[in-house]
Amino acid sequence: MTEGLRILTIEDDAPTAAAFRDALAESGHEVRIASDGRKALAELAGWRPDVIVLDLLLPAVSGHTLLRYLRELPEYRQIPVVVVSGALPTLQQLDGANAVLRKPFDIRELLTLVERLRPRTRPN
Amino acid sequence: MLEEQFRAAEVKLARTRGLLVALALLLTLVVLSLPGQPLSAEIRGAVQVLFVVQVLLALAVVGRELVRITNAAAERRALRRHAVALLTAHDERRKALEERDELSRTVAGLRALNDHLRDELHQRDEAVASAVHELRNPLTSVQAYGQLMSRNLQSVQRQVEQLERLISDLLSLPGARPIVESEVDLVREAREAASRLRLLTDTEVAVDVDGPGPFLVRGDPGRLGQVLDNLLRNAAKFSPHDRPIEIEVRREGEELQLGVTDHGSGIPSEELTLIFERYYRGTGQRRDVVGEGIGLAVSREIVLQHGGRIWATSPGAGQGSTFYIAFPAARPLEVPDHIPTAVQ
Repeated sequence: MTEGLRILTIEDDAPTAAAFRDALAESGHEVRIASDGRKALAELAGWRPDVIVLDLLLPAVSGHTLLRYLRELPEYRQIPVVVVSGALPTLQQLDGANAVLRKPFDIRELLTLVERLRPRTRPN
Repeated sequence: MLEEQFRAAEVKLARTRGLLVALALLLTLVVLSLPGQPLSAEIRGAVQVLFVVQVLLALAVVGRELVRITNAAAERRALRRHAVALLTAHDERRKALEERDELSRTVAGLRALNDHLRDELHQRDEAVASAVHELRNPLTSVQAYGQLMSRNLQSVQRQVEQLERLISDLLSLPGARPIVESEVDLVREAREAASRLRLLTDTEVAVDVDGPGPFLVRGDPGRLGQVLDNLLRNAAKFSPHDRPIEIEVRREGEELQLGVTDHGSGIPSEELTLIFERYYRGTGQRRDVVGEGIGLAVSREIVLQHGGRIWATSPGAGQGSTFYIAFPAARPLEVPDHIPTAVQ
């Protein structure tokens, strides 16, 4: 039995976030939701996820800004990020992302992706 | 300009000339009518000649003026015609210009309207794009829940199938159903059972046929399929998900053997025969796996009813296991008519 991952879902649309959480939780992952960039940063301050699922269109701090910020800080740089976006993102917006899914997508794709991005060893 | 000045000078000169002629005439008349001593006949003759000349000159001047006046009138008429033509042309040109202005105003109006419409269209496009984007979020969650539901339904379906199998296993007591005698192709049955397992559990099954066929046994295809299903399900239950299950079909003399190998936890040697007992659940790690504990027992019953053998081997704990079934071959080995001789 593979160990469940810690996944931070940053998504402002509550039903979508809930769907991600339910699907990921059903596969044995621990999921936390942040509805915008600021809340995500607050969450990250006390909890280290194995994978981040990031919506690009967010209020307050945009997903792209957050992604750039994460990639600049050594403590978050290694965390894989799956970008999910309703609009087709530009290459620039995807800079630093490990994978991208365009909404709507098959939820199994997300499950497969987070498995593929599973870190070899979990730093504690 | 110069022409006008020249003409004015000419008119002045003609007037002066006319005046001079008139003065000369007047002077002649005065001289002729002067009272006093009569003039000599020569002088009178000369004065008369001069008079005639002066009259002729005067007539010439008048005639010339008349011609000039006539010419001037003609010129004026020509000028007037020219002026009228010019004015007409000008009028037409003005009208054309006005029409052109009118057209430009219309064109400008149309352009403005066009711009306005384009802006409106653009705004509408943006609104539609935004709405489409907004639709993607609910669509994502609906799709996700749809898939979750369908997965849950699948697991319900699997449970139902498992219950169904359990019931059919329980019903498969010895002698409960007659054996239907026909020729059963073990390879085909193995492949079909492998497909059924793949559909059910996504487990990969490799079927390997060792040597030439046919691999026909006599028996009931349904019940032999049930045995294969039991062996495969058993293997899938104890095998890690990422390791394939292997089926090998081969001929050993007059016997056809089929082995199902898994890479699971293995079986302790003391349990190798016990596992075929009804309701035996095994020990150690195998206890973790949910199972009904009768599949192997039922399989053994069916195999024995077919005059076959069933047994299991395992190299040891953690090293997987192989379950074998063996039946007498229904037909002898097919020997090709022409056996190619080896070339030295």
